Amino acid sequence: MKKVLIEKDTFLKKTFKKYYYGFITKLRVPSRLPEREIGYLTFSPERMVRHLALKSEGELRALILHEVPKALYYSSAYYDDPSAPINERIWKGADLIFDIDLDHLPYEENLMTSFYICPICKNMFDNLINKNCPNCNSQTIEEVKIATKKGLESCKKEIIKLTEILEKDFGLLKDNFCIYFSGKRGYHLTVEGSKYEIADQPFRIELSDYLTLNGFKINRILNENISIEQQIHQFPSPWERGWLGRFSREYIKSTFSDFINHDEDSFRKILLSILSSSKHENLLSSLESIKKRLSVKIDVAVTTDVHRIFRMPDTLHGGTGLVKKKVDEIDKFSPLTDAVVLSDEPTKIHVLYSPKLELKDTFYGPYKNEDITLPEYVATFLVAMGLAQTIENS
Amino acid sequence: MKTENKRTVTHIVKQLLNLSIKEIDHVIGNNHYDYLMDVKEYVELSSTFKSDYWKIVNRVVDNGYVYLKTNEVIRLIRDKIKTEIYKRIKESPVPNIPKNLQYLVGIVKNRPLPRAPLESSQLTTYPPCAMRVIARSEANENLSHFERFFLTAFLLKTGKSVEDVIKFFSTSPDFNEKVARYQVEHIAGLKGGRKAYNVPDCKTLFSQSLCYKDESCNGISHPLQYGKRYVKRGEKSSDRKGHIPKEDF
Repeated sequence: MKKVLIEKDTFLKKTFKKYYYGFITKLRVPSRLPEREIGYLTFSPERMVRHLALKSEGELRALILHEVPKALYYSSAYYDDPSAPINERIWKGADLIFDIDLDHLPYEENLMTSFYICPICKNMFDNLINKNCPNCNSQTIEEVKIATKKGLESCKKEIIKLTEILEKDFGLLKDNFCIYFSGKRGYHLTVEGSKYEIADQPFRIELSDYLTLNGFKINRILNENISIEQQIHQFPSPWERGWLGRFSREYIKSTFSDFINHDEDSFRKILLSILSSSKHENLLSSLESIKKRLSVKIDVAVTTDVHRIFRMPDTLHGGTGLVKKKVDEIDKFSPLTDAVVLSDEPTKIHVLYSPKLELKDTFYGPYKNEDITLPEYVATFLVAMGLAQTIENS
Repeated sequence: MKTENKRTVTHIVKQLLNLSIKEIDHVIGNNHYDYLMDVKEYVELSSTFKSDYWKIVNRVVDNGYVYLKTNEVIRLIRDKIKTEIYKRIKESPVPNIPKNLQYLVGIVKNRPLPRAPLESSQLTTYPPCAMRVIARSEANENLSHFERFFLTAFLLKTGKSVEDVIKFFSTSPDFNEKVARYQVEHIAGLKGGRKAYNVPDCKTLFSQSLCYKDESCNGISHPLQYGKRYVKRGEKSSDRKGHIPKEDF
């Protein structure tokens, strides 16, 4: 019997097709579909198709079954005619969209497993000295980043921070938020039908700067140029609204965590003792690190783009085989279990390399250069990541 | 008086500009806030301001509203009121001029504009940058090309005649009337491209190391604003410091 390695896209398309055929009637179609631009990415040869307008849910389902896309996108914007050239269509508004991706989180250990793999000589490397493969000198060497459970938990914390600010500071209703696991390395949050739907790009830039604390002036909290008495008076109270209150609360938490006496006077008294005994530079640097902690790590390019096409919920991610999954309760959501939708049918693959990974509460690997039979969703994950190929016997 | 002002501001914002605004009375730290403005409307109004002071990240934002002081609201609506007034003037019908008076229209149209009132060009109201160049010139120091250009454009724009300006330079060590006349007339737009040159703004003066700003500048971005504000608004300089920090304009 001869062992045949199957092409990546051939296998993925077959798996995706099987999933979509079984799931298509349950697929939740985005609201106001005919007003949105639809786009998709095809399997090999990879091609991006954009500027489609679909009149009905039926058309969307037919498109999915017919094309079996590697990725399917919909615009956050609403247009009079989504298929018209971008300059000719009328922009009617857009959902607010936020993307929290592990790539945008400040570095911390174990958020991602990352390494390099050479598609030519099939070797794996932890680090690269330059951009070429250390073994065969190929320039096509690829970086692979796999989100860990810890990494995705950190993204969740950002989502929680984001929802709190959108609700309290911008008056948005939690009922209007839709949170999704992106299918790969993070979360998306969309807000439909809010008063900000018609907000233009300059507003969205301001909103992004607000969330990321870009341009925030620390001297609103602590100003060296005024007297200690004035500084104590200026320092925001922990009960204050907006960022000022958040800074104050975080400062209390990090500086005098034993602060239990919740009244303004005792708070000011403690401040007096801190401000008069600490160096200004030290206070400033602790406020700077609070700023880093409090800022919401959104991908600004996503939020500020009013013509963006965004991955459609309930569709598969071509880079993992996981689904973009709606999150009902963020605290209870477990992305590496809840977003697994492919079958557990035994699938034989040849793995070049895989670190230890966790899917559906089970650990797999590490594997190196070996043939192994794994559930379809694990096999698909490794193939989609470019770490394995399926084997067929002929 | 203060309540009166607040009422007027509220009326203008709501009735004339049709913006949503709520009166409040709220103290945060050293700041006393008088208004809540819808955050979207606020961003639209403040979009032309370059300073970080006006970014929403540096405002108190709560429940979709921005906390503002009265003087900040006034600053925000100033440009919008200007646009509104122009719009109304433009929209208002122009009466037909009686036939027997129409020949006057041509005469009036072609008459040169009157010079700016001389009050604004009293030496005491010049900004420090201009005062410095004038002092250097009066001390018979040799001015750089750019200093001469700046001073000429500045004096012309504040109402001096070409003759006045030439006379002013006549004491300089390398004075040549023919050359000076040509250059002054060129800057005035009477020669060459027939376009009067603008006075360089504060940023340009700063990069040419000619900015000597002091408190009296009060955050202006153009030396001509100095004279105009001083005269037009007729405020005492202490009033102008207001509550908005200098960097905010």
